[in-house]
Amino acid sequence: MPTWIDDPLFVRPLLAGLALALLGAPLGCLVVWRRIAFFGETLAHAALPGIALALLSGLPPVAGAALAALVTATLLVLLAHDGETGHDTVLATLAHIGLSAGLIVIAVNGSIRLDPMALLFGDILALGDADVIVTLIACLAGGLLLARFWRPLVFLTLHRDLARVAGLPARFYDIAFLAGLAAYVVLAMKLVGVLLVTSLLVIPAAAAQPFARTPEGAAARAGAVAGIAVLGGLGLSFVHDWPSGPAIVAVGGTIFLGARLAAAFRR
Amino acid sequence: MSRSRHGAPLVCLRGVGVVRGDLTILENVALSVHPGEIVTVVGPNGAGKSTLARVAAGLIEPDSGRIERRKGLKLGYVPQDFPSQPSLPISVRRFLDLPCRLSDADATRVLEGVAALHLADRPLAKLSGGERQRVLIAMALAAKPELLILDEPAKGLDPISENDLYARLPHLRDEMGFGVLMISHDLHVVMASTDKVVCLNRHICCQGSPKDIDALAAFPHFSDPDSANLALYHHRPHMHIHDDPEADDADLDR
Repeated sequence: MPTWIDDPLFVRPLLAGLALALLGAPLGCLVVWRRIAFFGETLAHAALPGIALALLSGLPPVAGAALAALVTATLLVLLAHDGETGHDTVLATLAHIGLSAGLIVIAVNGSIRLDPMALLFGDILALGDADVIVTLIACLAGGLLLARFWRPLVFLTLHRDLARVAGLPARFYDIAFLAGLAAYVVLAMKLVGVLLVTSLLVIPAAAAQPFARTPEGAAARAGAVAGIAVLGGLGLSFVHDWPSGPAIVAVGGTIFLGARLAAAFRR
Repeated sequence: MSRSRHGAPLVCLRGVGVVRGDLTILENVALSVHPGEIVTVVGPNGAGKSTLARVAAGLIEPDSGRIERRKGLKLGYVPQDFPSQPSLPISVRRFLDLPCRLSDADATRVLEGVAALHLADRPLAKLSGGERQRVLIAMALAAKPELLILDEPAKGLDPISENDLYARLPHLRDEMGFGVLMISHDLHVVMASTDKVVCLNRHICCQGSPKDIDALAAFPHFSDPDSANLALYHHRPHMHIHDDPEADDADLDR
């Protein structure tokens, strides 16, 4: 047995990564079904100025990212329902505003010490014990909440009007879902980085879709894909010194391509 | 018609207006549906029929006027369109469970009621338009509604199924006792199963029993069957039938 298996530098990100993978799977299914894959991207990009400003004012970066995500999610809820501008247009615009603002803040403040590569692509070595514990607890809480909200969220995704007539408060679930998604993005950012955080949501869900017959089946299959991606990606990262985020995405992406090609040929 | 006048209305719209930008979609619409009554709204494309259904269902807040629903009203709603979500895998049976879990016996009963029992295990995304419509009606009935709002319920149904649906509606009404607000673009198909017809073209042009409305359509200068349906929607004050909304309200307040 290779020695790195029980190396804390490997075990810590593995535990956090598996927890994030298992929570990201059902969350990612909802993202894919609602066609808001770009939303996580937008949140992550928008977190950049939040992180920079937090570092400037001596706050923990996570607080800055969370605040930026909250502002972005609120803007999205307000802007996307005016019916004039498409959802994707609002998302793309907010993402680019966020990315630009972040880069400007970093550029004009030479005093901020940021490793851009770690921020953009994740840094497994930066995960401390406290990070892992916070991630595990947050994922457990998020999972319990999601299990409770699962059926209404699926109903609202399938047909918003029918769900509303059945008495579901659509706005409440919208905001809860987007807030949960924002929290997830902030949590997962350390592992896979700002640029790749959406892949943890979208790739496993997309790989699992063609083979599922129920919403829960899709979530379970996505969970399996995400778990394999995290395990394989972190292994590759640790053994071959690949950046952790891209390594996880490479494994997940390979499974996605294989599954989709298999589904295409089966048809 | 006398039986339908018993009790307070299930839903009552008073002077309802809906505006989008500088477009008036509904203007001063007064309408009520009583328990056991089938009210059909007819009108041309763009008349605001679906908007009216959505206002009655509580999906849109009117910009002017009021809407009163009976307290705790149980609502069944069949929307006109169902955006297909091919990526969300769910069977018809599980779909019926989404508003509230149904027993297998209840699910079988409502699916049988719309001749869709054979669809139970099929993926929702793979259904044809007409099959999906049946499932939506089954879902609405499963909620044991007091008020059923049907927005073009026959959309996508073949003519035989369409006739079957309209023939079945009064029986379902008698059985379950609900009131119905139905949207249709074709007066003649729904005539036999309707208690009251409302002609809508952004405002209410006329309303009355199907016989009265049909008599209007049969005026000599409406004899051309193509123009007969459309001619009703033009605002002609002298054609108002007895059912003046204010009188209607006075009737209810007693």
